[in-house]
Order: sequence, then C-alpha cells, then structure tokens
Amino acid sequence: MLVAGVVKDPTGKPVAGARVYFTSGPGGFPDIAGLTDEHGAFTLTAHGAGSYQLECAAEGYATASVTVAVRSGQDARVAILLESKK
Amino acid sequence: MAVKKKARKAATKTRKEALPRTPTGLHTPVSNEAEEATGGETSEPQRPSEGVDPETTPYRDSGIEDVSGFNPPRLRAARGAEAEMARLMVAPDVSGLKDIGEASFGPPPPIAEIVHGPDDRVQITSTSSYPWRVHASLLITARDNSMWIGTGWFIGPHTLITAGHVVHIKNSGVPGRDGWVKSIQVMPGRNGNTLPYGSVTSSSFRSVTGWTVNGDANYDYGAIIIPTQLGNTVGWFGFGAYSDQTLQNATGNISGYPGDKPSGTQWYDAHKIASVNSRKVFYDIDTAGGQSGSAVYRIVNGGRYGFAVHAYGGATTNSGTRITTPVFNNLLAWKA
Repeated sequence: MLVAGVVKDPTGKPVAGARVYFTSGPGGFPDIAGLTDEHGAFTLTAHGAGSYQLECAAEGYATASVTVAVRSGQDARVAILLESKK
Repeated sequence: MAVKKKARKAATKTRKEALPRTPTGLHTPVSNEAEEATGGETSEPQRPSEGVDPETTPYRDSGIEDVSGFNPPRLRAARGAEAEMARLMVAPDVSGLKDIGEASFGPPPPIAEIVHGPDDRVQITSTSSYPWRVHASLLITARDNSMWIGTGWFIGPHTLITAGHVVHIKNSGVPGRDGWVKSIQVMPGRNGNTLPYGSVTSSSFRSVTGWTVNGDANYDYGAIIIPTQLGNTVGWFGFGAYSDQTLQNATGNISGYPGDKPSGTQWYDAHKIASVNSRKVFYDIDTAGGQSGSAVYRIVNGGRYGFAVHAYGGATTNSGTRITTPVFNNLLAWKA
C-alpha cells in the first residue's frame, strides 16, 4: 500500500526537498527517507496495514508529525502543512 | 623425484584453494552493469585504513567512539551489567518484511519505533576526520526520478557498502520505481552544506539475488562503486564475519545521515547488541529515516570493523543485515 501526499508551507505553497519518513508502524520498515518533488509531493510504501507515524522535516520549518491509518489494499493520502520554525 | 612430485601436487592444490569462490543461491551477486566481479574467501577480517591525514578521533575502552557529550544512561547501565543481560533481550523477528497486518482498526497493533526511548544520538561535526569521513551522505535518484536519502560507508578505495534497498528498489508499488536506481551522489564526511571531500556520482551498483529478485530482507545489502579512488583519501572500515558469541558481547556503533535532523548532518549512537540470528543483527541504537545503509561496527584494538549493514526500524530494536561468510565474500569481491 502507498502513503502519498503533499507538503505545503504556511501560505499553501508546495515545499520541495522536504524529507519524509516513517518513525513508527507495524513490523519493520526500511530506514530510508524520501524527498518531496517540485510539487511538494511524495509517495512512500507501507508494507502492511496499520497505523503509521510519518514525519516531515525541512529547513526553516518545525518538524511535522502525522498519524496515517493504512487499510489493507488501499492507498492512504495525507496533506502536511508545515509551520515556520520560531 | 618423489619429493618433486609432492611439491608440484602441493603447489597445484594451493592454486586451486586460492581461486575465488563466488557465493551462490540467494547470495549470488548481481550488478546493474554487464560485468560482475568474482568472489573471494578468507577467514580473516578485512583491515581498515585511516586514509590521508586522518586526525583520527580516539575511542573509549568500552568500544565506543570518544564523542564529547555522548554518555547515555542506558549504555552506562549496560557497561555495568552482566553479558547475559544483553542475551536475554529477545528481539522480534523482522525477517518477514511484508507484514500483512489486520484489515480492521480495532485494538492497534504494537507500534514499532526506530528511536527507542530517549534519543541518545549526538551530532558529529568533525566529519573531515577519520572515522567520521568514512560515512557518506547519499542522494539517490530512483528509476522514476523520485529522490531519496541514505547512508553508505567505505570499505575500500572505490567501494561503499549500503542497504540493498538503497541501490535497488523492490516492491514499492509505484509504477516505474522498482529496479536499480539511476544514480547516487556520494558525499563523504558531509557536514550540513559543507562537503570536505566534495561529491562523486555513481551509476554502478551491486547487490544479491536474494534482494533484487526475492525482495527478502535477510539479503538487504549492496554496494556503490564510485569512479574515483576517494577511499584512499578518506580511509575505510574493515569488516568481518563474526561468531554469535562475539556479536552478542559486542557494542555496536552507528553513524549516519538521518532525515529528522538538519539536512546533511551526521549523527552517532552506540549500544550493546541486543541479539542476533543467522542473518540479522538486532540493536537498540537510535536511527531515523536516511540512515539506511549505515555501518554497524565495533572497535577492536583501535580498528573499526563493520559487522552489519543497518537497514530497518523495528518494534523494540532496529536491525541490520549481518555480515556472514557469503556476505563477506561478496563485500570482498566488490572491494576489489
């Protein structure tokens, strides 16, 4: 199953080059991080149904954490809105 | 005459024994290029090299690096504990990477985390010195042009070891993504925006059929061959295939480039090994996405020796592909 989404800044503009990675989920998962493209888009692979914690880090922004529910046989979509780092 | 015949026979036998033996089965080495190297075999660990002007960071007698500010409570407790305490920790079996899971969302299953308990990682800023410069930040371009970050480590002048899933993507579910990646930009000793040894881009990769064909996490290891001899400058780690007892008593060190920290910064952690099985090593060493491919290494008589390739986050421990004899043989061949 796929976990796909878009990362945007506080103004709603896409954030390219943000790092997106799982920090928790059912079973073991590869310790690799994806980078968002010029549209702020990313697609990660979830190897089992369950609840996943996804983090997104980008320079100048506070790290965002999102919980994603992945159902068997269904892709999940998520939108991540970053906040400026104070 | 009899003596001469015996000498010739012995010489022939020696030559036959010295011929390289390529691993077979799921450890059959593969490359994204037409020509593949043959394997070799030795029972002796490969020695490290510190490269040119290493300014080597000292290490502590406890088998960890001497890093300012690194003295996690759990490691202090482990040092004072009996060796049997580490062997009592039972790690989950993560060999079945494809966790089927449940369709419903009743009681949630146990959640795996890759930073376990307090985050003990410390940043390494002296990345132009040995051993830190052996670790390379990797920027990976996959077949579908998606970009990823990982970590690799030098084992020779032109060879870095990393996870199999760094060089060959498997079972992604994304059309056009699976297969050998297009290219990897290798940045040894990277420190944020500073590249003390520049960068080199590779499109020459190695892995094994257990990963590239079967997608079996037990065979998740690979190599990056760079077109320069940069390893002669930055140095490299040794590596070896060690016994269960040796690993169960070992302290594992990991340094790499996690995505949850400022871009391109290197972070280090160490802890006693939790457990091993025939193909994997399990440990409670904190990592995060981007550290796939990092060396899991021990310090022996001042030398750094990799014994696993970090690959996965897990329920209570993280895990890496163990360097066993066939893995060692492939690493040796890829180093040549």
